[in-house]
Amino acid sequence: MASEGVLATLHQGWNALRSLESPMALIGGLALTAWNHARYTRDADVLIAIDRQQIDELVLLLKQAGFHTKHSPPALMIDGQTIIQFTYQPEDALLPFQFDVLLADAHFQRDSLNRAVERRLPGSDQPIQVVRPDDLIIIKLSAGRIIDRADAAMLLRENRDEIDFQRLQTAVDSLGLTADYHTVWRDAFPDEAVP
Amino acid sequence: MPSHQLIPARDLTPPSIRHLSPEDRIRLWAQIVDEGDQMLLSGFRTHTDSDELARQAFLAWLDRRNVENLAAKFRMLKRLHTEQTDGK
Repeated sequence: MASEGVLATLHQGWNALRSLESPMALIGGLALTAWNHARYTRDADVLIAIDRQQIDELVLLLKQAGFHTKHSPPALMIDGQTIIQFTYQPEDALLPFQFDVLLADAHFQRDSLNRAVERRLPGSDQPIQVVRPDDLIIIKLSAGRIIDRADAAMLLRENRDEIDFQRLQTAVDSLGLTADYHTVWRDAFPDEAVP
Repeated sequence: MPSHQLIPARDLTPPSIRHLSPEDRIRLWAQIVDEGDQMLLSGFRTHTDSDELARQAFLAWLDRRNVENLAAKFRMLKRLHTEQTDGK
């Protein structure tokens, strides 16, 4: 089944990156699902705190685990930010799955990794880390597409008791995301004023 | 902006998955990926002459989506980095 394929991709990629012994956490579709909002996304996104000098080692580890880089050279760098995209073709899967590694440069990102929570993939005893819902909301608002704002609204609605609203408000204000935050709040809780 | 522009009202939203265990939520996501793939592939198959062409069309569509997704990921990283460099 293909559903085993996407989990195999995550298992394989996460285990390969584990040997770097660096803080890392999932921030993409699986993180949304972990926080009660499941939707169709085929790529796994991992935020990792490594130095640029470790990129070659990271690429080698994933290649040894059967992953292929999407670009040559592997690391895409724009405005000082780095993303490395991989694909992985699990056995019996019709199509490859994408596995994106995003380098955590900013204080907020590294703090998000420190606050990440542990989850387990089905069929695995090894824990994975997932960023907390308040941090995921900031990540989504920063990405800025309509679908990201919709994700943020669902995260708010489905995780109200888990969210650190003080941290969320501070980050929203400092990043200039206040208007977007108010929009998603109104969608999540239309009968309540923004706290 | 009026409410419910981004997500449906509670009474129109699919059932919450909060009651599922963390592992079952991940199983559900994997199932959504599986069924979404099948649905999309069926759609591409109706416009192509073979399964292989449908698969190639699906891959090309994923590559086009990746351009937008990648831009959003860079935008997110840059915005969070700007906070740091602004010293806020």
